[in-house]
Amino acid sequence: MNEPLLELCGVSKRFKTFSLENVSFSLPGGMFMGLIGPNGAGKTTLVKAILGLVRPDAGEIRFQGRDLMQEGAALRQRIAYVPDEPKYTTGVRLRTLKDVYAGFFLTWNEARWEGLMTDFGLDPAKKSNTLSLGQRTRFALTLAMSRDAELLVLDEPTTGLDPVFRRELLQRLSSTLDERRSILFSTHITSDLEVSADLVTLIRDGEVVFSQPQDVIRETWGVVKGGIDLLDADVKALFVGLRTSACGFEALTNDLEGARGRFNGHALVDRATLEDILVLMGRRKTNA
Amino acid sequence: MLNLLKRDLKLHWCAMVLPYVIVMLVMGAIVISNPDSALAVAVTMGALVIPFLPMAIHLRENSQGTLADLVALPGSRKALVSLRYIEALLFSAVMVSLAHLDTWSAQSAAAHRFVPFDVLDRTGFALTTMPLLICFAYPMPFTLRWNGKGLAVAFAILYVLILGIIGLMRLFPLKEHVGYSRAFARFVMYLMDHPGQATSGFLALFLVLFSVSYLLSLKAFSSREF
Amino acid sequence: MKNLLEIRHLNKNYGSFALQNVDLDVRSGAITGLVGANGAGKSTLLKLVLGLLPPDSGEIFIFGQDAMCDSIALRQRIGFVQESPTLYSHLPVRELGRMVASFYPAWNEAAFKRLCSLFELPLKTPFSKLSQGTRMKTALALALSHDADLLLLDEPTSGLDPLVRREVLELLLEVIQDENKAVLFSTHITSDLDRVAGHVAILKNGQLVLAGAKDELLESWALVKGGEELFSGPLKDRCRGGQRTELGLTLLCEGAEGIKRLLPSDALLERPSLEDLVYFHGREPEAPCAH
Repeated sequence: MNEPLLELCGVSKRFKTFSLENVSFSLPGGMFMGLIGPNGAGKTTLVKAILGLVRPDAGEIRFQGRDLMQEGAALRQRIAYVPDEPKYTTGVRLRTLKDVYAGFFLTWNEARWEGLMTDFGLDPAKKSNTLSLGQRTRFALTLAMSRDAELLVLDEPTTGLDPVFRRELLQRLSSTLDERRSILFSTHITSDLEVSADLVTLIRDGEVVFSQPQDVIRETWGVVKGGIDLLDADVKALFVGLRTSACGFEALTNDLEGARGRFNGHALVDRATLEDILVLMGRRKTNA
Repeated sequence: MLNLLKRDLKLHWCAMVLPYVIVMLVMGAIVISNPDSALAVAVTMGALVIPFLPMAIHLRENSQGTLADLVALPGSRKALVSLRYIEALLFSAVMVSLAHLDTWSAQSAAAHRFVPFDVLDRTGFALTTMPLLICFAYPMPFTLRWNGKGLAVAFAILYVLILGIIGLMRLFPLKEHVGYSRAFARFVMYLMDHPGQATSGFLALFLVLFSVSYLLSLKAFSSREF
Repeated sequence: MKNLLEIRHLNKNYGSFALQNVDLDVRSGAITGLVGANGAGKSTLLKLVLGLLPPDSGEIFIFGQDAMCDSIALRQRIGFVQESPTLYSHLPVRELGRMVASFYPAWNEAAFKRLCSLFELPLKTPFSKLSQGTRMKTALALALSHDADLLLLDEPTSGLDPLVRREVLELLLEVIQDENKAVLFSTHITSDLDRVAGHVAILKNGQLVLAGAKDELLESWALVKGGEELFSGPLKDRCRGGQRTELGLTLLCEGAEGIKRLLPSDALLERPSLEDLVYFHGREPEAPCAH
């Protein structure tokens, strides 16, 4: 099967204060894709569009080659979703919430769920309203991971989760990947993605800035740090993002090799981390 | 659909369904233990307000933030709307049966002063369908589109309409020495004398209005975003 | 350079959980980061320092004074941000500013305004209607606007995107440019600690399992990667945490110098990242690591 597992083509959605414009990217089977971007860039809207919670004004979303907007009801059997800040009906035990959830899906692994509940430190007899946000997120993860879903979509699941748990979660998630299964993981903690993500899509101000494999990103994007005196109009034009301070400047380039050559000896040129790219690119497009 | 019904029962049993059941049972006990009271009648009438329950469940899901989860499940929005309509019919059927039992047991002279039970029996269908229409079918599309505020608006509109009708009745009195209430009483007598026509009339009205409500609800919910 | 906060042998028993014998110093002119799982005791520790909870035993000295003496002047020099801040939620940001200002004589309205615009805070929206991230930014703006000498922040960057996190961290760095100020903040995001923390402390199950200057810590620990035979060697006594993966064994070992001699030839020696230190100290060790 050569078609990607998930494909977005020209997805647009207009809200009063914000809009998604012409978002396109694809997620092949067997890949872990990180979705990053500033707050308000549209990551959650995108995720909601995939889950049918929001209807795009234009564009297509295809899952396994089929139109998600038309056939979402059936296709969601194969998609597992962990929402941002999961909420559950109050006064209901986790065990009951699980029974309700499992009843909707054809694939459900009870043994795996019990194992995950233990590993994540959750008691099935507890009631949903006694849990903290971190615990509710862990619970949502146990539910999503106890199915054999082909696409796992996680919207900011790691806020409030400690580094030990996060590392182990990412390892666990990575181990579930096979040619049929993929993961879409939206997060603000970009350092988590550096190790686990195969692909990274950056959304800013409602648009896709790039959607590339990590190794390509590592070879393309760089950070240049140097003294203010180096900054003239020509130099500025080379950069995609720039921050200046009293001591110097920090700039983002999408031509790492070129920058290395040009600034050799005059400034520090290093591979950009995902966080560097986000911070230096800024929240909105200002200039090209 | 069965999944969805089971889900509602499991999630909302304690907070919503059980209280209603308890209240119904208590009301039933009142009626049975004291069938001669007008209270029994009032209580029985109260049972007919059950059609609010599916809407109340929907509003609870909305306010607790679990409605989005419901929509993200593998199933269509149409199924979710149908769920509420099926629940409304189911709950009404159960409650109306119980209410009927109550009314039969409450047939006493005292009760008869307040409600003519023979009228109830014959216009029973009207009595069960009217609450369904007023408490559920009418406000549901508003609620699906605009939640709690929608519900309030729906009843505000209804209130204004009723005031308007009363106003109109004042403005345009019927022919002399025929008041509206007289006309209405004549209408009710007609229905009682022709129960077959009354029942089929109400049935037709109910089916039409219920279906219109269903279609409006489908439209209202399909465009809702989360 | 002095210790603005000193915690000595602090104990607090909470029934199912207990802080045990915690010793911690927060030096002026520096940022100290506190890491640990939820339930490890970070919030409890901060509450004890703030005087919101009485300790069972031990001492806390703030600005050299016993914190238990409960002086108002002392508290006015402390700025804090609590986890999931639920300040008077019906008030809008502007009113919150006025309210908090009344408690602190050193309130700086200009600084508050600057922070509000930096964080793009909606001044008229009630606090409860704000998103998690905006609430956090509001709490930070309030804590940073009265020239506090000691800042105690419980997960101040939780839920914030990298851009805002960077702004917050840069603000904290600005604060400690003044040698008489200090910051203690707890976080789950180790990359933030990498960026600004001079000192790090790791809490696990109520105990401080590691504390010290970040650079020193990174130099004195080593990450060793190899096969199963690593466990049977003399490394066993030095190793503080380990993990088995399909590729083999990874151990975190103490005493980077001298370790090279003890390694089998095919083992890899690496400098750990802060994240590695936090990870291996934070989890339950797999099999025979000492400790």
